[in-house]
Amino acid sequence: MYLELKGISKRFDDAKSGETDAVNGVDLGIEKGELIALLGPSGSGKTTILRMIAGLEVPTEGDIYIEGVRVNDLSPADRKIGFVFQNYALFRYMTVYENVAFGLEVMKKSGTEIRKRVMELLELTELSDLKDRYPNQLSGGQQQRTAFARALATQPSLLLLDEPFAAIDAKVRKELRSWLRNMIGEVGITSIFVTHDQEEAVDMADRIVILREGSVVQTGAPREIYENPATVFVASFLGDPVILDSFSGFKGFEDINDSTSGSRIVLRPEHVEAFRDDNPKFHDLIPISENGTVRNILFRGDFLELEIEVNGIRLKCRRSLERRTVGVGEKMRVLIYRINVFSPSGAEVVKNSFLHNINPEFM
Amino acid sequence: MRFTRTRSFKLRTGRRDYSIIPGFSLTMGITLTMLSLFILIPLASIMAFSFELGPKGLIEAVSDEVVINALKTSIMCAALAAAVNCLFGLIIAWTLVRCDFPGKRILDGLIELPFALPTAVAGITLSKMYSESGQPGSLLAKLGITVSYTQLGILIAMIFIGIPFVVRTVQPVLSKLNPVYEEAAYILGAGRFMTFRKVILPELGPALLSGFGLALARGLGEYGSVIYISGNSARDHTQVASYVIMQKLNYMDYAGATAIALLMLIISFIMLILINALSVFQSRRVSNTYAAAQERSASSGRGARILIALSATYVLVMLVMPLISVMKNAFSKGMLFYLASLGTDYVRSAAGVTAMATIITLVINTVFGLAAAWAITRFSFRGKHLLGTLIDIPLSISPVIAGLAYIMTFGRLGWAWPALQAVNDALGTDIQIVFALPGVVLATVFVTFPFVSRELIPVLDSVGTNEEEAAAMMGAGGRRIFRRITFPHIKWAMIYGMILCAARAMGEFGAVNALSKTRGETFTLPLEIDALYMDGGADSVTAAFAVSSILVITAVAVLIIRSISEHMEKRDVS
Repeated sequence: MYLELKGISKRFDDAKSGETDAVNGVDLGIEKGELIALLGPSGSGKTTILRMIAGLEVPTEGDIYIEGVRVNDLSPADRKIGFVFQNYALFRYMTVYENVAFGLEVMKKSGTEIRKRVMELLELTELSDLKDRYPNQLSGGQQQRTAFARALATQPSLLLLDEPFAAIDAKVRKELRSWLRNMIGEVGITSIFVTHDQEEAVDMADRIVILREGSVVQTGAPREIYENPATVFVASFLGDPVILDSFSGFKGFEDINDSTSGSRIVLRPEHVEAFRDDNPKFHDLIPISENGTVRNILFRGDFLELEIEVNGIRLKCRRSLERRTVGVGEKMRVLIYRINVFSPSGAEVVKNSFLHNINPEFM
Repeated sequence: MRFTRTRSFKLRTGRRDYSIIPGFSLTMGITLTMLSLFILIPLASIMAFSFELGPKGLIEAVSDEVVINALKTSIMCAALAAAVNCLFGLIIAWTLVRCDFPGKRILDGLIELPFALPTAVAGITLSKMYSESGQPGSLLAKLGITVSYTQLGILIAMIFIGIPFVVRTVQPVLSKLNPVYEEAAYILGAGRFMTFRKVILPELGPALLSGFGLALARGLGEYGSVIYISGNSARDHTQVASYVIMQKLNYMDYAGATAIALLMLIISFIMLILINALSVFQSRRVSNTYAAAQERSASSGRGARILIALSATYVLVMLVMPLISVMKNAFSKGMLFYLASLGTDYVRSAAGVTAMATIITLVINTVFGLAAAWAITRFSFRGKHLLGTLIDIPLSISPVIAGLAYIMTFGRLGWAWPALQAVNDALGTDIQIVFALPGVVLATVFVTFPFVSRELIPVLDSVGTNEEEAAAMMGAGGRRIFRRITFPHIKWAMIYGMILCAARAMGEFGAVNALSKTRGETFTLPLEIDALYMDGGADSVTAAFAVSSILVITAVAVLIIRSISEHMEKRDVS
């Protein structure tokens, strides 16, 4: 383990501040070279955890270890950490060059050494031409790159990023995401970033830590979490599912025991297939599908989202724009591939039993 | 001095929230020490002495008819003046924020004139202007209205000094007010008046009230600008409370002076607490409705022209005319006489004392201002609001009381007197504080104490702590953070605060008046002006105006520099 949190808790005394999020007994281990996302809604404690790792906050309980050394009492500067602040906190009265050089000056490096290192980083982040600009003369992306270069200047062994894309236009976010991921890979630095955007976490991280109300709900690779969410919360946080309290009488899911009280079912749109009776491709599947009625159609940009009522339940499914048009009120056949069942006894993925047995190629 | 990082880093979780930014103990220590030394301990001396009098003695001293009448006059005139300023302050603030017109920056700059102009200068000018020989005075006399030596005169002086308070509290709130609420009201069909009454006025309410409170507090304690225009006659009820205190001081009636001072202090404290509670309440409720640096289109048309005309007239009559009057009177006997009046030994000595007091005050208050602003804006701790309120005390109490506070501390009746004598005996020196130069300096420090910190705190608050946290994370020490990160942000605000502090220090009258008795030795320029004016002869009155003209020129220079520094600050930020 490169970084370890053991039983970290943080409580805030002042009752008046509703914005600060407490943390309750978080255990976390991070391997060298990993890129970790702390994902959760606001108030889940993700930023507080990041700030505690950095040394900007002091945990009420618990210990933080970096490479086996307890760092609780170490100042942030001695933890060898690079930190990218949410709004970058670039020094407004210093140029890009001076911003990047600041940490090295504090370390009392020689002039030539500083110049060499700063130029190297500006080269890496493609900021060489902008080195004499002030932060307010930079675009959001350029500011982010400056903040990144500044954080890396002192050659930290751990990079922390607090909502690194919050201050950036939605349009350029995706582009910057892959830039940042590649850059972190290139530098090879262990990194943790905080985000509330599931897409961002899935897109960038090797491993995601999902937080809710100050506790870790689930940790794992993005795909792993997506396929086996531990709770309804996780399942609903990743993707855009329908959550149902009861689910019975569906073909292929006869085994579901609906009588267990408190169980909930999560149905993802991508696990629902809707087709017309006359579609030859799905002909074999008609016997195991349900009758449904299209209730609503939403244009989502690159696909359509259909709301279909089946057995009195409204399901969502996606439809390619290339397929035949459908209208509201139209009858369709509906097939469900799999559902996530959450009962007090645990979480499980239930696959359509017919489909599983008869026609594995559709899986 | 450089601390080793690991050692200076300690866990502090108890009394304040942990912060990585260094300097809490240092700045907090400086803040509390200086606050205690210059403000709290002297004020406590007044309280201690009044407790010695006992409740019976206090009530007796206060229930004297002269005292009751003076308090009545002070409260009534101050409240009326604050109300007038609320109305015109709102109009001026509105004009400055919502209208565009040539000379706007000049108008904006002039608002602060009463802060920069010495009160004694304002006093003699207003008195001269509104006397029957003065410009508006003769005009009003024809209409059968006498201003000078009546309560109306007191009212006018209090209006003069109160103008900036309402404008400067309403203006920022108005300029940050998000226009979407008004737009929403318009879209829902509300007319201009209804929108103003239902949407804008509630947002401005707390600011108006706190501006009213500040103006009221200032009016209540006002001395210099009031005493010349008021008749100071007990029979006509034209004595203000500060004047009565000063009179009692002159007659060595310390018990009486202390009793009135205590009562006024209590009134000031209550008002300060109310004002601060109000601003806390306001920031809680209104803060999220602020828009970040809104670009709004200036309103125009007939309504705007009326507002601009009203504002300009008010500022012209109330602020510009006195300025012109000073200059006219100063040169009324020609250039030679003017220069001769400036060259007397008394004036030279007074200029020297004033310069010395101003420079020392500037150093002390800048150190305090920086420390207090750092401690208050960079850390959160218990009692933060209380600290802010305590720092503001000098703004809301009468300067005469400040003088009294030092007399009750270091004077013959003061508790520090024996200690001072012991030191003098031991060292063979004869250091005196009251009625000597140190007293003049202390009084000046007291009156201008919050001037620098008040300019720095809002700037540091709006800049936020992000950059300093980032620098501290990289291991930068307190001095480096201050020099490289913080200072560039507050540079202009600090310069402006220092200049305003200097202007106010040069012009301080009431507090110094109580502590300085020797013309030619411990007199400052305002005291010299007072002495010349009170002499009454035509020549010495003109000389008084000649000396005043120096202070007027300084005040105008201050306003120009303020305007420039504000402009530079805006340019730096954008």
